[in-house]
Amino acid sequence: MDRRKSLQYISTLMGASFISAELFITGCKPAAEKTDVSDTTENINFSSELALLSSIGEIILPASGKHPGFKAVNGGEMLVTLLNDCYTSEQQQMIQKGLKGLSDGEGLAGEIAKLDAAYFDATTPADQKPVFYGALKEAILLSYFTNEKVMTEVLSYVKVPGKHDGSMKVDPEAYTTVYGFGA
Amino acid sequence: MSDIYINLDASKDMTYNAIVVGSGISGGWAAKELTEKGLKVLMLERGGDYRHVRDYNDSSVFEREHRSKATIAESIIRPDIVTWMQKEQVMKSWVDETKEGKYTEVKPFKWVRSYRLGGRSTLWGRQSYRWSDLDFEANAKEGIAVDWPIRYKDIAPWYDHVEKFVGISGSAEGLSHLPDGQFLPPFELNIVEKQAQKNLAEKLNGRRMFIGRVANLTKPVEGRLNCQFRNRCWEGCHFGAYFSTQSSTLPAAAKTGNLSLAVNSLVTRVLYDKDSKKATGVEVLDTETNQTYEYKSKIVFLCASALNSTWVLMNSATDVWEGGLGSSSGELGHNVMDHHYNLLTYGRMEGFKDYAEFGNRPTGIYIPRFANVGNDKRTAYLRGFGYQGGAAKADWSRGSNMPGFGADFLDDISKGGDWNFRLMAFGEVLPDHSNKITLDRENKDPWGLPVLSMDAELKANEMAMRKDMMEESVAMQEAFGAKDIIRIDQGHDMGHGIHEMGTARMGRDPKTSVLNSNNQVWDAPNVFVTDGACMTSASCVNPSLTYMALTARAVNFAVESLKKQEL
Ligand SMILES: Cc1cc2nc3c(=O)[nH]c(=O)nc-3n(C[C@H](O)[C@H](O)[C@H](O)COP(=O)(O)OP(=O)(O)OC[C@H]3O[C@@H](n4cnc5c(N)ncnc54)[C@H](O)[C@@H]3O)c2cc1C
Ligand code: SF4
Repeated sequence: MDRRKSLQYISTLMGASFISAELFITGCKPAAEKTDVSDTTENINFSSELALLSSIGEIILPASGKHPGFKAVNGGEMLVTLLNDCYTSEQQQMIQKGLKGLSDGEGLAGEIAKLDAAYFDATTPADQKPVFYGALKEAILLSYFTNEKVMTEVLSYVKVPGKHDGSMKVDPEAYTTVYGFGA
Repeated sequence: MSDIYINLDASKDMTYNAIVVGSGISGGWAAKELTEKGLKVLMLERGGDYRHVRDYNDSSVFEREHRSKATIAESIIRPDIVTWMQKEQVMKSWVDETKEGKYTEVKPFKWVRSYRLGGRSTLWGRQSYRWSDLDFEANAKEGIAVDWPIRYKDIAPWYDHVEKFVGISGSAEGLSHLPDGQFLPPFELNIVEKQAQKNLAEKLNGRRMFIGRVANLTKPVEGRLNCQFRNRCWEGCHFGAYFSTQSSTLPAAAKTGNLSLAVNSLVTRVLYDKDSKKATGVEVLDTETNQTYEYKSKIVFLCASALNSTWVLMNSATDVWEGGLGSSSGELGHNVMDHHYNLLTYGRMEGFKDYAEFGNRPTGIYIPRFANVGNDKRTAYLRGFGYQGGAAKADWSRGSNMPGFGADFLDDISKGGDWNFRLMAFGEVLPDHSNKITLDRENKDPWGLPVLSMDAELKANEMAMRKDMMEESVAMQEAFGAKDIIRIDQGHDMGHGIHEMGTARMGRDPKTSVLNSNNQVWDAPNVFVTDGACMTSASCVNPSLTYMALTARAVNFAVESLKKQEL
């Protein structure tokens, strides 16, 4: 798949969790390809990056009057677990390399703004896209929105709905997605 | 239910009326029907125990260590498990290649296996449709492969029989090529799907779309509750609200007092007696102790799933036939089929911002086959395809595909987004002699048994069909009124449709088929194969309901024959 083309149509999207930034970080291998069994290189442990990762998360998903922030729900710890266990060493190396270019401090918000713009700008040449940022953003969202406090207080998670209403009238300004991530 | 479990070596000398190999959808049905007809049955399952309710997962996403994301460690030992199946909460359900062995791929193949009590009956998508004479007559009309030895009228009463027990929710639509059944009340389309249904019929000449028919209860039945809308069926349903061996056929079989069940019991071969030209039982390998045992019975039902039942046949009676039991026709292992998919479209449905969906419905929409049906004639290919899918409101995960960050971004993606319509096509694969599986004697599984070698691929008919499947999908999205339509074709390796079929086909002639019209192996009439292996063609319609009906039909025949002392 042509990275640029796929990126364009993905940015016009949607909440389909299986069209994910992972498409890019795996080099746009079709998602239906077999899992690479040769991935045996040493795993990277991202614990040492906890502070930086937490700060990036807080810039993307900050505390506001309305919502708790990424740090308040310990998003950083969740993110480290995901990066340690759920990414191939190839993907981990790419993310680690990307993080090396960032430092936790005043300038970080500006760096994130640049990365976000470059990643989503359809005119950025494929080989210059900060692909690691797309992967990180996805993992940050996952860490935050699947948190218990967020699911039950920000979103309205119900463990056993008990009924179905496919035509529920809602106020679009107030309604939050109940079933993010398929319950 | 623990009284049905036996320990193989404690009952070494036991003889049964019938042996059932495998405890999945087909095996569960064989055991239920055989025990209810009074036979003493031994059910043998190669995988471990997996008990109803006790062994089900009931965690919320936030309680899972990786929040539903599969780990690399779990994934690399299960290379076939990709895309939507690769989820933390079900990873352990799938076969671990380092423990169960690999198979050989002459051509790329995906074999989505689950070896444990209940087989894939606890994991399946539950879409349940009848096949019709459009399917059963197709080979004969088009001169493809061999004719099915049965027609819709032969199987229709058995669809009635199994549907009444399973509990299939659905709407009667009056289509002759997707016959109505014994339905529980249907689930409901959501507001966007209702609009799309209307638009589709208006724009595309009455084309049909309706709620998917599923084996999920919309009303309680004995011992099982109605669906509570969690849509987490594949983790196991505590309410027993969908059909699985565990929720349905196993309790029914156990209740008769006629069932014995042994887990960790891999059937290595059918024991064949040259003089009587019949099977005398099976050989079983206890996967925990490595001991082998022989079990005797009057009849054997092979229900180990399509490719595994054929594997057992290939290992059996090799002193009589080099290619194994059932190979005299030269068709054993041939005509591997599947449903080809991995073709998706998405479209954004405008409006409906002030509507959302409450509850997780365990089904979506279904669009039955229209290509090469009635007056519709396609010149580029034979047969056809159907679609599953549905409309859903975008959730927070859309944020990773959107530019932006900060408090407003967080607030925005917390709210529901646009509604999107998703269509996924399932196409028929033609039976082709050159698509085959064979025994690879060079490569062994952890017990030293030969593994299967897969040599099957999509051919010209399927490739031509795929183009049309995509074009029609886009045309229907346009008819719905969808905007920004996205097409995704991820390609299809055989097996990935998880509807693997064929390799021991039914037919009318022992020279060109492995099984007769009652699923009896021509070469050993007291051996019945009633899982996907028996299929003579593939249809484009989900197959498991048809395995159930064929199994019940074959059991009825077998028991009648036993009574008449014809077996
Ligand atoms: C995620 C998913 C979604 C699906 N969705 C649908 C759907 O919507 N509709 C549909 O119709 N189908 C669907 N299917 C397919 C469906 O699950 C299968 O068609 C069905 O389970 C086949 O039943 P079976 O009994 O033949 O095989 P299985 O259910 O696979 O059971 C076979 C059993 O035999 C055991 N076994 C294998 N070899 C041996 C041996 N040598 N000795 C002893 N035991 C053995 C296995 O361990 C297993 O327990 C889906 C499958 C999956 C995985
Ligand atoms: S959706 Fe229904 S059938 Fe499926 S797990 Fe939930 S309650 Fe059970």
